[in-house]
Amino acid sequence: MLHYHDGRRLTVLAADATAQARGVRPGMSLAHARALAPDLHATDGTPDADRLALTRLTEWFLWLSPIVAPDGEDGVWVDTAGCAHLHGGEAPMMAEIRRRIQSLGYTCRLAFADTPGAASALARFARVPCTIISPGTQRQALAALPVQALRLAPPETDALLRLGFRTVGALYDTPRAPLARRLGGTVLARLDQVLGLLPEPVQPIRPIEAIRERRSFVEPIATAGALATVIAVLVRAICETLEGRGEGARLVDLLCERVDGTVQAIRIGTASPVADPVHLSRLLDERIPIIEPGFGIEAMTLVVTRAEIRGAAVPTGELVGQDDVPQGRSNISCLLDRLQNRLGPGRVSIMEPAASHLPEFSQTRCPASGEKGTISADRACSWPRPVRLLNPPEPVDVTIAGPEEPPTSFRWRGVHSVIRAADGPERLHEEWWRSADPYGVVRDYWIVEDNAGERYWIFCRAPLAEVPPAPPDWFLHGLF
Amino acid sequence: MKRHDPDTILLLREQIARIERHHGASGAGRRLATGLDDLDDHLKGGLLRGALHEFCGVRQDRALCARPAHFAASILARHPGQIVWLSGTPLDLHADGLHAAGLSPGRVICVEAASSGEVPALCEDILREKGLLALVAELDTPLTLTTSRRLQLAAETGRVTGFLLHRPAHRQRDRPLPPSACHTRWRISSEPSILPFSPTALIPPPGPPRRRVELLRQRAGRPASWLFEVPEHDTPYSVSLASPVANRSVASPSSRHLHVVGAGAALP
Repeated sequence: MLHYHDGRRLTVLAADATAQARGVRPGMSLAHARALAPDLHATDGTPDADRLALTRLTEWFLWLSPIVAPDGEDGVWVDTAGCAHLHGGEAPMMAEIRRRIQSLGYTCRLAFADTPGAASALARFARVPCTIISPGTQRQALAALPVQALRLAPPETDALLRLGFRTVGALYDTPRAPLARRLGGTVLARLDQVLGLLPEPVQPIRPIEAIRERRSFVEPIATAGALATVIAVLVRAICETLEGRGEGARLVDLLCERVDGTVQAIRIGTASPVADPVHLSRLLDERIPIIEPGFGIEAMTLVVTRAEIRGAAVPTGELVGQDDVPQGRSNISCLLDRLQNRLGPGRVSIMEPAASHLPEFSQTRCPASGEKGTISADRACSWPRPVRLLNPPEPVDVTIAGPEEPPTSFRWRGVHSVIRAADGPERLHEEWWRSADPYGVVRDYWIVEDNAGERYWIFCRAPLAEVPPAPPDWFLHGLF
Repeated sequence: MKRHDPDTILLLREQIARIERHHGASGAGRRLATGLDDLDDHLKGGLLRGALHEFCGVRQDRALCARPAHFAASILARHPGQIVWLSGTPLDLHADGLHAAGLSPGRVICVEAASSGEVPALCEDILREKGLLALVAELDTPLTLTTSRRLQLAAETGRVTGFLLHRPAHRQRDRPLPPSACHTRWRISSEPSILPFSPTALIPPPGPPRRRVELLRQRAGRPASWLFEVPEHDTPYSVSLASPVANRSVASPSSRHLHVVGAGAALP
């Protein structure tokens, strides 16, 4: 059983067959339901998720008919006019629908009628789960149904019940004018809609279609120039659609159908939503060499597999460059996309600061997208740091004068350097959570200058407190 | 006939401009000032935009190219715009180090090619892209003359300045750089600093680092060499590589360093 809070108390939203057999009804308070069935299993209802699921179920019904709409909170309305003969009549069609819905794991009640209102009423209140009424007979079919079937607001239903109208049929012969004066026009309007005397417009859902363009050719094409022309045409077409929707493509697939029946597919991704034909065709043109036309390509399809809402338009390349200095963020997203598509993921990146004081861990790479542009990374590290780091630090052989002293000479890559000046140490504690080493390993960084004037950034790595002191390891980490 | 004359002259001017490419054009934005007055004076305002500039290190730095990278970063730091740093191997840049050189790491787009063979083609593609400030490419094999001409033309088209850092592979480390179509060629090395007087320390602290900047080759210009002193690293030296000149800048038109590379005469 599901419950929700209606503002005043916890109310039963839905109950399964077992709970209903014990007398639990949707709409009663949770306390009441618990009194009826003490072992009730109650969970929070999720009306939003239910609504979403109903929308998806409605879309699923597009296999049956192009005009479908959700009906209230728990129904789907399908216009099956002209569809029955495809399934061999209304009864076989209903059986087919029932079978398919049950295979999805739902139970259902179905009704075919002339008007949406009548179908809705019959599906919910008829005695049998599947009802088909012949055309023009809704007046008789609905006569025995309760007035709740008219889809009125609760006060109006209550008023009708108070007046003694229990069934829809009771309203047929009642004088209309006094009823309208007493209850407002809605009741009669609903009644007329159900009976088909007033039209009831239904707002069908419009499924969002994937943007795709297809061109088939009279003669198979195989040359790069011809492919580029077709790509330009296709891209222009999809970019118009994207522009109209205010979206940009993030993932685009180009499918080339060959004469021998195979399909060659190219996929390109972009860092930010793109609706610029020049940008997209450049990305696609770069991939032309990997298309194998074989005996020729008969048809090409361009599909926008993923599209996103686009931000404000950005000025294109014509405005920047030339003689003026490009200011701040310039339009290099096309270049970034091309590089990313050509080199593969993770090859185009920018450096981001990371929370670590060890030089090799103090930066991470994150994918570069043209959107971010210039990031002013406020870096607080005011100590001297080399532009390049040796990764991993290279071990060096040192001669040291004494503990806690800089080396007097060292050998790196086969070259012996005598140190004439040294600055340091700058002590960095290694982060124990990164390595398996015991806690308390420190690095003492020295800036040393050799006789030739080369400046090195070397460090001595040793456990802080160890008795007897272990011989420290020396590494070179960079050059200044 | 007469009324066509201005058009003809315009056409001719256009043709001449095309022949001269951007060398004929003038403007303050044509050159990237290095921030070192002596250098800028010698280069008539700085490194030419939309041209290639080669850099190499010496001795231990030959393979690492740390000082040329620092030099390039400190020049680029003075100019707004985005920079692509391209390498055929995993890039070993250090963000804090770039920041210390004055360059905001967020401006640098790191591009790692799968192999160093891809680098020249990628360079050409990136250099053609308008809107970038500069491309810094790390090369482990020197460019052939043809490739460097292609890249030079690409840089002129996109007006992107190319900084080529030579990091020769191990077996080529001792070979001189072959001639190329680059606009300038630089060698950045260091010299022993002047040690401050400290009677107590066994090993004294180093003085301000000294940088020797050698312009080995310049198209339509003379080679030269300078010695700069970088101010103490604990002072924020993000402003420029070196503001004071330690020794009087020793411009050496005699260029006794040229024999090391020997590329100056090989080019038209």
